[in-house]
Amino acid sequence: MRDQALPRSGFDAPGVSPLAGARIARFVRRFSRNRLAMVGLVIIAIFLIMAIFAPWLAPYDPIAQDLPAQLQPPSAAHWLGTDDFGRDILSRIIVGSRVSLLVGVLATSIGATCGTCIGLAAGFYRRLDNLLMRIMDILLAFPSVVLAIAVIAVLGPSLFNVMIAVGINSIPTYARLVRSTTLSIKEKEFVEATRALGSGDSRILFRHILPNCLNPIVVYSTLQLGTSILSASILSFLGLGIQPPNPEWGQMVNAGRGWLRDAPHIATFPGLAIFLVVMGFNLLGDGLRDVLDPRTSRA
Amino acid sequence: MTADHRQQPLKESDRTWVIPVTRRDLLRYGGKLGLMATMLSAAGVTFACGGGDEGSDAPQGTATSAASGGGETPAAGTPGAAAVTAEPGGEATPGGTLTIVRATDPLNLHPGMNSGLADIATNFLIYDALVIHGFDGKIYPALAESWESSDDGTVWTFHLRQDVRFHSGEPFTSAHVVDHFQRWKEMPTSAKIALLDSVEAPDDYTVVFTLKSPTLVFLNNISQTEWAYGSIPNMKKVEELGDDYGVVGVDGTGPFKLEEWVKDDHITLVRNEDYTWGSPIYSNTGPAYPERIIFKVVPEEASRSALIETGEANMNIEVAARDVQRLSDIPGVTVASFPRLSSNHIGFNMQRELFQDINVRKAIMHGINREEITQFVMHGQADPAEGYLHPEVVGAAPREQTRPLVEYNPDKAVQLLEESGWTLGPDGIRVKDGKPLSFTLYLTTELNEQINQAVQAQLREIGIDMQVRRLEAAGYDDATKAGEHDARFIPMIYSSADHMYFFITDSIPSPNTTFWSDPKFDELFEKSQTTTDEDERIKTFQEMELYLLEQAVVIPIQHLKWIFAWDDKTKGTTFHNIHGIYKLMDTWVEQ
Repeated sequence: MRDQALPRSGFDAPGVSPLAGARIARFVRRFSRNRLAMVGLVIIAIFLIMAIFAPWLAPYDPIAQDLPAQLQPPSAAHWLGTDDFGRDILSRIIVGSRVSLLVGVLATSIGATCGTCIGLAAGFYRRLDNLLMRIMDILLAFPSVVLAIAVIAVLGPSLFNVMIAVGINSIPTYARLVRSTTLSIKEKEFVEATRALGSGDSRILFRHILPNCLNPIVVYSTLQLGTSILSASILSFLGLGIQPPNPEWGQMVNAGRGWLRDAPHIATFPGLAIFLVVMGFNLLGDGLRDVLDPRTSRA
Repeated sequence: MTADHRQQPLKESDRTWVIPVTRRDLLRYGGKLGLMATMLSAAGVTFACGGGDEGSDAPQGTATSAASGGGETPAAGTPGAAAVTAEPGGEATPGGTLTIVRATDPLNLHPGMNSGLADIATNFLIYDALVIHGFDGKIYPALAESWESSDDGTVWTFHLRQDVRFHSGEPFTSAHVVDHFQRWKEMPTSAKIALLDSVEAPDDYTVVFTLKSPTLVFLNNISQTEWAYGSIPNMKKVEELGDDYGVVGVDGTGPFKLEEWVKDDHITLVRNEDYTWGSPIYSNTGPAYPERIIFKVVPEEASRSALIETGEANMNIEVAARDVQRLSDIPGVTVASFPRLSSNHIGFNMQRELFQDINVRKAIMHGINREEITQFVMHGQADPAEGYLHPEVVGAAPREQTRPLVEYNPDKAVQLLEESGWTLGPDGIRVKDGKPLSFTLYLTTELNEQINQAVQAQLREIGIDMQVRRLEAAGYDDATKAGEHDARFIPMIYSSADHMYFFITDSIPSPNTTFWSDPKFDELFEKSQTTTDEDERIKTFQEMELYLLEQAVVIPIQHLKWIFAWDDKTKGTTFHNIHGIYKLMDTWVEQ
């Protein structure tokens, strides 16, 4: 009861109140006016559909080899050609999109969850602030790929370990982002009021402060999705990710690299897929920021 | 250096054959068997060289036990030998830098410590041995001027040159030889000198070896064959550096000194100006021509080829099969490929429960289509294996006997698996007692990964799940010695059947990374080393090969070729049929 009188974030579930519904409508209207963001959204939607329906969309078995059909350029039978083992590149890209998107989403989730918790704790409890943020500074000091390689060297090369390695990389940025927002929100009067009404720390943190941090988290996560996919591809390119013969874009670029002079399509198409999906997430992220960030929004 | 050492007339006796291989020749014959067939039929010879990153070691054929006095001792176990040289192209001039690219870096330059090909190739240049394996397959004097053996073939006396000095200036004496052989007995490759009972030095320039029993291969075992284990280091330096010798510093008597070693990047060797004890197998016996040799480590095939194209490297000693055609089209670049005595193969870790079942091993043997891999992955730059040993090796069993043991026959493979109770699971992988038929293959290098991705797909068709794990050379070495692998893949390079000591009990855990211990095989190997009858020895090797295949401990895939590419500034190189670039004594770089 007592919460309803207090200011809330703009991210309440739709339909809760006419006010929230109006906010969402305004968000959609403004977002749809941003053409580049819409392009990003369409690209991501296409890749998502591709990943979800991969087994039905792929024209060939992505790991079935047909050596006599190796190194074929794009043709009617193989739209994007075949690789050095005669495997259909289109099918490998389609099935590989599952891995790339999954790594992107899970790695970002790992980073966002851990980083947000650390940021909340650091911003809310001054005693922990120095300790936690110095640890984050240490993490930030490592070049991201080097840190990821070190993590994989310890854990061993596998898909799940790639997610962890990539996720760890983004923890410090989330922590800083959330900490700074927490620091400003916790001094707001409504927080004081909630505390005066007898709310405990966890209620204040998760019911009042966290919702107010969501805007920057969502914007950063969208941008981070692209970065995660790129990092995962880099690790696979280096042979540290998913192991052959399972298709993954970064690994496909690596395998095609030796053929760059004679059959450039092998490395080009998966490279293009990485480029497109990363660009899609970046455009989407930029658009979201324009709409959600009060400083850039025109309203 | 003085001019006296430079251009000595080429001694035809040292080189049975000299042939310039031009771009046009290669276009005409290369890539197919044409080049090989032409050469073989013309001179009855074979070419083979070591290369790659991992491999074998082998004593060199056989020598008669009655050899005496500094003469040339034929190495009967070696197939007819020959040399291939780059176009001589005028007067050799000293100076300049020869840059050679290869895939891997050595691990340890202490002769005898390991069997990596990069280590050996480097040791050829830094060290000399008592005797050397010539281009014609015979044994020639090197640090030993002459030698004789007792009538019963168990005592061998070597008389050393008295003008030899190590790079540090330390005089070379018999004490260094004795010290090296005593240390070698404790080293991983000691199986090669298992028959050595004692080694003594009656005076500074005489060394006496006493063997437990006579052997036909003693001279080869201690010569500078492809593994250079018999190379003699300075014992004082070895003593001083202890376990760091070969990593932190080295001291040898060879034509090049180690100047700089940046791990996994490059090794720079600088010419030994005092070198006057060059082997008579080269026309140049004085200091070598190039002032510096730089071995660059470039693991990526495409980059290695690119460095030749851009002129940043003079020679690529590990050309990728897929680059042969394109490189040979480039003006000024020469590409040559030769069959080499090699057996790249999968070896099982016999301690694994899965591989205790001989039917599983045999199914894998029959489940691999070697023709297809050779044609499409190797682009014709290899020969599909029909047995374990290269057919040109003395001691190889007749192919009609080995072929049925190795042939591609997926139906038979499936039948063998069914017999053992491996039934097809829902995902296409066979299962028995709830366990999937799955194992992980450890390997190194891009090429080996490509070969085994094809194997992986072929085995999947008969319901076997083979995972491939590619490691760096050092990591691979550690992991396989520790037995972490289910199976491992190596491109075994050798010059004679003696290298099958890789599979005897005494070689566990290294170099016998199959951990196979079989009394019958051990017994056969011992017989091959101790018999004094050449026919008996050959027969024993044939039995060993057949037994190895019957037991399906190793799965041969193909016999590789060594492919070299060099630019038009590099002249006079003589490639040894087995040892590749070898000592580079006649090579010079046009300024």
